[in-house]
Amino acid sequence: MSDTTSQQLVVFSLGSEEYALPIGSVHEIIRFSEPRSVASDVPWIRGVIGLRGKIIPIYDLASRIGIDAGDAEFGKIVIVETGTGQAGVVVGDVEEVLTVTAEQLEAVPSADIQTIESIAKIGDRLVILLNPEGLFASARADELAAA
Amino acid sequence: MDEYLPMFLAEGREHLQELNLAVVQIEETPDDQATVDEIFRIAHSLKGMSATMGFANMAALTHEMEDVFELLRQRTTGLPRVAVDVLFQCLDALSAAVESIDETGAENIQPQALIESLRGLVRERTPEQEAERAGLAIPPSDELSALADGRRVIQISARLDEDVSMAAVRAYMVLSVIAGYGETLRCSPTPEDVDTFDGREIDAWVVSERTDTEIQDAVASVPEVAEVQVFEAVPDAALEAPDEVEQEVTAPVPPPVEALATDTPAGEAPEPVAPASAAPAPAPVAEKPKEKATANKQHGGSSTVRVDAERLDQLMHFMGELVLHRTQVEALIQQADVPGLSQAMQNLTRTSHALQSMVMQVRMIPVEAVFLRFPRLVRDLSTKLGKQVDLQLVGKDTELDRTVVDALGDPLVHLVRNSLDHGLEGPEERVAAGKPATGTLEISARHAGGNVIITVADDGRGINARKVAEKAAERGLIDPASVDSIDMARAVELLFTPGFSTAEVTSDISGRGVGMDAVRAAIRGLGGEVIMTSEPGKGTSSQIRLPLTLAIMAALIVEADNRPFAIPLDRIERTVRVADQAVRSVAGRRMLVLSDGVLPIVDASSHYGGPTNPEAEYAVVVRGNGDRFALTVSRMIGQHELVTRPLPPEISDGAALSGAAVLSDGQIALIVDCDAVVDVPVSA
Repeated sequence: MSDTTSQQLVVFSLGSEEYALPIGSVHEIIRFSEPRSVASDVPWIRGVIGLRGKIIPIYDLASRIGIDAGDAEFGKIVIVETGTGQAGVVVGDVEEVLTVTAEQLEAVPSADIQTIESIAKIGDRLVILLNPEGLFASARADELAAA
Repeated sequence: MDEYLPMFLAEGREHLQELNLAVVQIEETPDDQATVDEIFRIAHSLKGMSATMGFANMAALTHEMEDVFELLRQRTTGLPRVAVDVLFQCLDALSAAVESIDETGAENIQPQALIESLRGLVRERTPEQEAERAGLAIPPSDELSALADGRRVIQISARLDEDVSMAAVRAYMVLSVIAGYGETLRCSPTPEDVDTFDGREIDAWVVSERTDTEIQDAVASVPEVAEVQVFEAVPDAALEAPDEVEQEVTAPVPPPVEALATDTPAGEAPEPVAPASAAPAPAPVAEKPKEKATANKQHGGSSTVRVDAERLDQLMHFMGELVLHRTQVEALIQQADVPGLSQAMQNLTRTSHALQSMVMQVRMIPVEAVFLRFPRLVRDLSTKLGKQVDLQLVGKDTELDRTVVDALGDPLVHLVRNSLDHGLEGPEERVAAGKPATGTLEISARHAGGNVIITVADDGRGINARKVAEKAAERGLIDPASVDSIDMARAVELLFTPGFSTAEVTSDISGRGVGMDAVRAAIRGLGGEVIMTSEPGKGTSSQIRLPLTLAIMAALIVEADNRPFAIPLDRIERTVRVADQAVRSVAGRRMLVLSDGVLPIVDASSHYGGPTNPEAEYAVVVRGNGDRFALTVSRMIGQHELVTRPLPPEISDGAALSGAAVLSDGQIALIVDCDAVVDVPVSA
């Protein structure tokens, strides 16, 4: 991302909403298969999958950011670089890669600051830009606090 | 230079550890010539490395240290304690410098004070040493004569162009050419130094019958050689001084072979090399067999290579993938009907097994890599504590997977510190108890089946169960009323409880806020277990049991709650059908009654977050941390070789799982952590 005023986002659906992650933090996108569930104190961990030999935790994004996705269809798992490794996020479908400029981004009104970076307004669409660090780091912190 | 930095750091750390060890050794047995030689060899290459990398202060400090080491050569009585202490300070400073280089890229060391202390230690110097220090490269002619043993020796002096671009390469070429004409007795730069050579003058003393001009022309043909001079250094004794031969043979000068084993004090002086060898560094005679495993420090050790640990990990990773894919193919072949396919598969399986064991072997390194740090540690701690300790290292050659060895360091250090701090008594107390004043601390490693057992044992005062209980009650870990009824097993268990530390005062030796629970966690993280036994007055012994290798493991695959689990095969005692056994309820808990004991039943399904399954058909009798238990499962699938993978940190701590593995059908089997299962409170 040489241009600081615009960035590319991977946009995906979750229920009826649209979310996005910066393209730099997305490692790959795989087809959804039900993760192997494991007992965990972290409620939004849906389980683990094996990806090329590595065991990767899969996050239930909907419960992580506290929305009720109902019985939304899960179509894809977005594999994200977390800094310490990789993690998967269960999403509906991956829609497109969008380039947004800084002007299109707006601060979040009173939402969860940790997981949500900003909101991109593209035409009449609202795409919620997630913060990958906050998404996974705080999960660990919460878990530690709970332990 | 940056590309060499990782290697410099790795070798530097290795050298410093070896030096620490060698200095401790020399303090104990001052007349051990082999160790003295080793010290010189290591110090010398450390100095060379530092100088090459441009870390002048490190090089300067090492250089001064060599002068102190020289004292070892002169007297067999060893060094005074004060000298050894200064040497250790220097080694610490060098270690700090290496770490600082790793972090910031700068050596960040102030060697002046240490250099002054070192110089204070070396007051008297012999004239010969002064000459050497002054950089006189000419060996005493009588020594040359002795080396020549009556043969004619010529000196070849070559000078390189002032603007030579690769002095080291040219020097190497010159020496190679010279070596073609006869036995090189001495040369400057020495074969060890040639790699780091950046001077212009090359000197060699060679036994040769060839005409001087022939050699001169040959050397001059090397590119960038400006000037070559060849002259006779020692005339042929047979021709010119036949009478002297006898005399020279009996001259009290070390014969060449012995001289080979040593290294010249400060490195400037030329030294004898192996016959006709201008190739870099023949392995010194004093080289010990143990060094074969720590890869080649000598450039000439062509039988070993230094490989980046990262690559080994990758090799292992791909090997694991291969095993995984092989099992998948094996499963598919059952359904295919192609002539010759099963035979081909068998061949593939056989080769892949061979490859697998080879990869495993490559990853194995002697546990000595961890043990090496203890002589110094024990020396420092026992001095600080005023205790006398005899450290015994047993089974240093025992091999372990590299990852295990790496991770074993901290837990072992903790156990050793505990032994020194709490276990072993001071001399007076020991004598009063009828024991020898010097305590014994033994660190041993041995193989036992698929495991390696590492024991840290002392003959100290043992664990005072009552004191432990009182402390635990004070910390609110147990009910004060139960202090009187404490037994040793329970006391040991308390030591492993998080938040427990018996140190009266938090000392800088063992009480750092981490206790035995950290040791246990670390060992369990490696898939092992730690057991501590103690006898009051006799001593304490901590036993660490570790799997030989972490990456591939034989396991029984079972199913609970329709999901696969893997139980390490070496933990399974047997499997039984629950229907064939009696199940009784004891205090509300279901127990399996076997002919040889009554075992608590752990329902795998509910234990791992599923629904309770009282109908589970099978029970696997598993050896846990000391106690056996019966894990009930709904289905047995079979025995498999699994490539184990660590679980992400988000998951592993709550559940009693040690890892996961991908099965041939793509499912993930969670690996049961047999030690943790009984610890986790089973919710009703």
